[in-house]
Amino acid sequence: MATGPSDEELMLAYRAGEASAFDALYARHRGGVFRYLRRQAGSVAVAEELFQDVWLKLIDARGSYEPRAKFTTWLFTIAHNRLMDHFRARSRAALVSYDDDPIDDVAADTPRPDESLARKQGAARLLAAIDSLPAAQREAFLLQQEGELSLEEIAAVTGVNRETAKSRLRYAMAKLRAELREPERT
Amino acid sequence: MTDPDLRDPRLDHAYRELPGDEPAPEVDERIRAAARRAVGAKPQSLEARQRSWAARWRVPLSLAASVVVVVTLTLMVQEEEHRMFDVAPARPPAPSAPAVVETPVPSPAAEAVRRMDAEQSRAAKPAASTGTAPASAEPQQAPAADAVAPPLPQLEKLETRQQRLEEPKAAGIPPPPMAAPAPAAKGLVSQPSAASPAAPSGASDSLSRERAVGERPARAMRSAPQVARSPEEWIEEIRRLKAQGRDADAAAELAEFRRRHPEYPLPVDLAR
Repeated sequence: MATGPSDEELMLAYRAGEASAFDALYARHRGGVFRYLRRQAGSVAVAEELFQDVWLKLIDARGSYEPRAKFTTWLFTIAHNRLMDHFRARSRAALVSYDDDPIDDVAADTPRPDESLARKQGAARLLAAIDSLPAAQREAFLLQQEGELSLEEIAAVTGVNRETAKSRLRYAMAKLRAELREPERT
Repeated sequence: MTDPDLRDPRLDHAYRELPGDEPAPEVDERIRAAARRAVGAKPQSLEARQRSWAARWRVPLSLAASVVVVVTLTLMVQEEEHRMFDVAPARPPAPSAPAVVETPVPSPAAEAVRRMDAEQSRAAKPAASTGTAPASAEPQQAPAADAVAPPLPQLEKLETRQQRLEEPKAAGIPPPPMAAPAPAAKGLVSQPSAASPAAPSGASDSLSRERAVGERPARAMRSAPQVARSPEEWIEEIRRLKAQGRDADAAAELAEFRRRHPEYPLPVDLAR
């Protein structure tokens, strides 16, 4: 679907010094990376901070970029690592339960004020459902949706094997489908 | 990812319908600015950057190369001109003019020519004021060798002429005709066929200086052929010398005459 140069070509051009190539890359992926961070970080301010750090890190690493994998895999790997650093620094409870056990997922239950209006709509339920997912499952789902990554790429970004990534994604999909099928809670 | 457990179109659609959270514009600008700073350029394509570099430097480099070439050529030409001017004064004057150089004493011909030119210039002015005949008169009997003689023979010839200028002046006899000097040698007092009054003292001063440089015996110089004289004039001069009692000079002149004009029939009084 995408026309024009590929992400890898743009990144190589930027590495060569073409600033406009970066502008094209940024325009393509700014929304997905931001939403990926926003729907895991807990607040817009934190998401913007993490978002900026991710792109600055990419800019700094441009000299060593090699198109061995998809650009989005590399980009979301940077974003995942930055998010993990944030969790470690903040000692969020979600980091402790960053496993496949949904019972220990606490952060997902925290309602976000900026989403009070979206909750009144059908989309709000989905957001809430995503928010309720365990961090690992939520991340797998977001990498699929925002990064359009394959199972193998999700596994590479999150540092797990393919089966683990597959399991996380399957559980996430199941929960979200069930949420969509369920009538609205009162 | 074709596994239905791993991909649900309805879920995908529902997710895409969610509000599209995006970063604030100032965050966008900060990131873009950092990206530009990192590559040290304004937003510009790589091709444009390459083109602009070439376009930016094409004209200055061309101008610099042109300046270097012009300056180098100018310096080379000037150097060549200086070299030529250094050599030019050493060249003798035009072939038709008697070369004024020093005596046979080993001296640079160029040096003598230059000095003689100066002397002649001084001598020419007074000579011109006394109505000396123009220097353009060509001796009819001037041997061809005189016009193309090398500096040394012409030196002898000139000094002889200069000598003769003095003697006839002193004796009241018109100086013998001489070869027409070149414009560079216009200072030389000519020897027209018509009698001319004595040269002014300025010429004698120059002559004495010439002699001081190194000269032959007056007799030898005087015996140099007078290219400006006709045989008849020469005969008359010889007669005058004899009449003056200057037999030796007359004999020398006669010997020279015979050498120059072997076929000329000598008058009876001189044939002996």
